[in-house]
Amino acid sequence: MKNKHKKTTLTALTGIFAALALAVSFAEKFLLAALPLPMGIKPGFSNIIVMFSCSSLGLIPSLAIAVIKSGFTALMSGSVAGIISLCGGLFSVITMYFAMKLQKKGLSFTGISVLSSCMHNAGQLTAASIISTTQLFTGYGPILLVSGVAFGIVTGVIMNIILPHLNKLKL
Amino acid sequence: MTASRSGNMMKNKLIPKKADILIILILLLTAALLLLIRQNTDVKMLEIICDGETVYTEKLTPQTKKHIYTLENGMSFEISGEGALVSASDCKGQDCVKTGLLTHPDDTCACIPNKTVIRLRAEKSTGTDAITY
Repeated sequence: MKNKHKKTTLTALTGIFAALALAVSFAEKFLLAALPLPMGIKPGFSNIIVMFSCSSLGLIPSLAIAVIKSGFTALMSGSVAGIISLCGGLFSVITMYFAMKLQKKGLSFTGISVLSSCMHNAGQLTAASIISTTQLFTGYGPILLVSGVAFGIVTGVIMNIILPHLNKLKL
Repeated sequence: MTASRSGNMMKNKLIPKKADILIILILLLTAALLLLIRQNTDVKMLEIICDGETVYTEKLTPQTKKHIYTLENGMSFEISGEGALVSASDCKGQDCVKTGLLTHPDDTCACIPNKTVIRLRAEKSTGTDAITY
């Protein structure tokens, strides 16, 4: 009975986090209109929600959030955008999960966020390269690495600041 | 006292740890290396790749006149001596059109919905206009 209750709570929390990630992603679009960023570069603030989910709920719920997010992208922007988003999301969550195991070795959320952000970009680039059957890493690689590092630092620092407050939720 | 302690705690959270800095440096060095291997020349080769196949190539020199090339999928490209850009596409996001002019070797613009990639490659200048035998 207790186990069933735990599963229900986990499912509900996964749903809430997925909704939050979608809302942050949507709000980010308005910010993008104001920021003069090169094409295809996004801050990825929904990474904060996924990171918190990964640290508090674990790998499977975080992967579920990535799948829900890409499903929403597919509905809004088409199946190709959905596949690219899915690939980026899965790369990012898996990297995040294993990077969190290095926290004891001195890695903070800033490093985890930078790594997952860059791997998100790498995943998207891999999907785009497969779909277009053209190698896109040399063309897009440098700008995506630099933007991944820059926005990874921003989201990591935000995560470091808000985590103590989120931990009060005792999930 | 409490305020200064919380201020210090906030500072600690904003300063990355050694492991973070190491990861950031490795990633930035990789980006710099990728940029360094790019060659910069006056003569560039334009490639338009559709569905993995190169459908159009043109050597771009300062003498190349501005012209338009259109693909069967409806995408149009404006090509000049300076570079090339996607001038029209029927894709939803129009990210490829918004990318603008590609001017440097290895500059790439991909329209994933149309499975089309346009990129510039470095072409070594021989210094001669033509070779005759």
